[in-house]
Amino acid sequence: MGVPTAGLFNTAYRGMAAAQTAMSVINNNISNAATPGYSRQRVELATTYPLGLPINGKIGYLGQGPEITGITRAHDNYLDKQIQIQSSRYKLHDTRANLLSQLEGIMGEPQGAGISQAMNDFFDKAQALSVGPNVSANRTAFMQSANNLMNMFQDVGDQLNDLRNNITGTVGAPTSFANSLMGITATDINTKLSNIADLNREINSLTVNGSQPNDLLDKRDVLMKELAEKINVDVTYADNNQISIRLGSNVLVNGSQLVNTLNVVANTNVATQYSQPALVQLVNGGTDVTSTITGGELGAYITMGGAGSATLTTPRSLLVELDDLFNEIATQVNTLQGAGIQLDGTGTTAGTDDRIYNFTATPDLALFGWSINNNIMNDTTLIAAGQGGGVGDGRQALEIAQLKNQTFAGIANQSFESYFNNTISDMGVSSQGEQRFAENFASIIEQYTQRQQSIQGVNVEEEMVNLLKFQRGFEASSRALRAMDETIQGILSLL
Amino acid sequence: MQRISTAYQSQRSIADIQSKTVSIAKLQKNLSSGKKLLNPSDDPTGLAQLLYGRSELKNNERYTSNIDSALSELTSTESAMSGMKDAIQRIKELTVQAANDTLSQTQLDSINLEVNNLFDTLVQLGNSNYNGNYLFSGFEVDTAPFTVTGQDVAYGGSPNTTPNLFERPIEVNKNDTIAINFNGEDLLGTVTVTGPTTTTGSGILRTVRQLTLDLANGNKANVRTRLDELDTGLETILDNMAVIGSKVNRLELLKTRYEEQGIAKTEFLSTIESTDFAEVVSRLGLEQSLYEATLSLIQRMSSQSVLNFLN
Repeated sequence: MGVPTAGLFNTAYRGMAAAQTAMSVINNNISNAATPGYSRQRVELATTYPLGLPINGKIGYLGQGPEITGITRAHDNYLDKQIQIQSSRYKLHDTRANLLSQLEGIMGEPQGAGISQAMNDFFDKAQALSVGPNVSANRTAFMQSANNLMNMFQDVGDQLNDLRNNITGTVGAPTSFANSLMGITATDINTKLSNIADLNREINSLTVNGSQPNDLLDKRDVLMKELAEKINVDVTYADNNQISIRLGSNVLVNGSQLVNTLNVVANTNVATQYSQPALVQLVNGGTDVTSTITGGELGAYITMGGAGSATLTTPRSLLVELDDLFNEIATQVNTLQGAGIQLDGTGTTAGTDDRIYNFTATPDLALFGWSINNNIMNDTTLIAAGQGGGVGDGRQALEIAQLKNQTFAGIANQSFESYFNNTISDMGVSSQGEQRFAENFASIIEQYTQRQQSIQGVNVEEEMVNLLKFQRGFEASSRALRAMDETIQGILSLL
Repeated sequence: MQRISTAYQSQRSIADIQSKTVSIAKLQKNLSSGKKLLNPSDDPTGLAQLLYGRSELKNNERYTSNIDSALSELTSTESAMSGMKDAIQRIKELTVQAANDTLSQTQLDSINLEVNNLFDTLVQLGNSNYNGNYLFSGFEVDTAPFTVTGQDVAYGGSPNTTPNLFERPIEVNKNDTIAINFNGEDLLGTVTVTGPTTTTGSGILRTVRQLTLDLANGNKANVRTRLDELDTGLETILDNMAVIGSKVNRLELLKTRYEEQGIAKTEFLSTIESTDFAEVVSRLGLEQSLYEATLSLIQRMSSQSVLNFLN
């Protein structure tokens, strides 16, 4: 019976080689411990096919050392998918919460520098005018506060419009849509889709050749999570480590094929373009997918750039409510001015001084069509504060002041004040709600991440222990080699 | 066994520190601004209450200032009326004297001189003003209510027609107005001399003008009948002074109520809006000690590594 001498060396070598590979994998794990999305890798070892030796007329098998069968990554696709789904939801609400906190800043309540203060001030000045209608200072103060009130509404309105236009793009400015938050996000999504298709191609070719492209898979997982933060997509896993991505029923990526991308375009429907200036279409085929996008940042931008709902205040919904409110105020004040008697005892003249606020038609909301009547601003004796009793008659001004406590059909049968306060309150509730949703989804993601990390994350201690194990294995193999070497040398010295 | 990844461990540490600093920053903002309601989303229902409350406070301030100006106008009105009352009472005394059979025409003439002066006084008081506005001319505050032409006196202020077209309303409570001025014609009347012994017109002015004619003519019987008319005129003034009294009472009551409500309301709003310092300071202390605990825990954990024991 004899064992081939070379075989002995080979066995030792295989042990050392396996240990070396394992150590280099561990080294890679440790260096990537802080790399986002990295899945720790493991060397899969098996015994080499044994050498058959005849022993006592039978065949005995002699082990030939270890063999590396693969380097795999510790990973769980199910958790990936869950994290993607929850990331879409989290980003939807988190982005909305951010935009809503900007809205709160624009409204300036309750710091006392907003519309509610301007309204209080206007009705207060009307009261003062009613008590001293023949005092010039009262008349001037009344007109100034009427002007301030209008400016306050319009300034806030402008800011709301700006915020909305930043999100969606501006009606009538075709180039603004690509540069809006929606447009930029769509471009970002398109880049990610294209990168994922490219990665699919590389992964496919490597996998077909029998390799396990761990690092590329990790890279793709990271991209998928980033994509999910931008938009809600469905992911399907296929053979050869391929994935396909769908938005609703529309395929965007199919393996290595980039099937479709997104395009943000102006809404050309005249009836809805101001409440929803931008739409999202598929580049190939032009299908409108706006209503299919319900998650991620893009979903948040679409909803916040739109008309809003009972539970979600948007810049546009706020603007529409402010518009209703100021139109009602201006109409009521104008009606009383038109019917009153001026300081000189005469009635108002139609077209010149029968209104406090002039109106010019606008393509969008009426709010921006109002301007102060400069005829009255320049000559405050034209304010129709009385009802014909004489210069001390402030009864018409008192009626203006008393508008404050009346309710009007045009603003849901509420008073100016309660209508405004409800609007602000609803905005606060929306904002609070979105913050809470965002927190909830963040903590759900946190839990999944913890589980994911417990599977794929690198623990340096563990790696060090494994490193020791393989180091000692390497040392042992070296010693075995040396023992064999010495033995053979001993034999050779006899020759 | 649950594995912990090293990177995740440090991520968690960062997240822990961040969440602690966020809550500490929020408390510090509450402390430094003195407000706990900084954004509508902090307390949406509280915000609505706050806005309503502020507007109510503003209303009350305006009503209080309306009441103040009403009260000073009423005080001026009252002192004018009180002057009228004194004048009429003096005229009554003089009339009683003049009615005495023994008085000669010369003596009647000298009494008449004083009565004439008192007549002028009544007209002047009728033209009293407050802040440049005539008190008794209704809405025509820039027009003197009484104009004298020779022996005649005419009224030129707002008329007393239904429904009271001379009353200047001042709002003192939500949709609750109070009229604070009195019609000069109702108060003093008017007079036109139609002949050497006859007059037309109304009120105390006609009575006193007729009295001066009677005195000049030495008609003592007529002088005696003037006494009853003087009583009626005096009663009109006294009645109106009583009305002033009741209005002043009501306004002062309202004013006190607004002051008290103002204090209670401000206090209530501050519970919605303002920081409870004791609570925030103690919470800040707690958050800070938690923050320090987190830091020291992280320090200990990060210094512990198997690497320390390998060489």
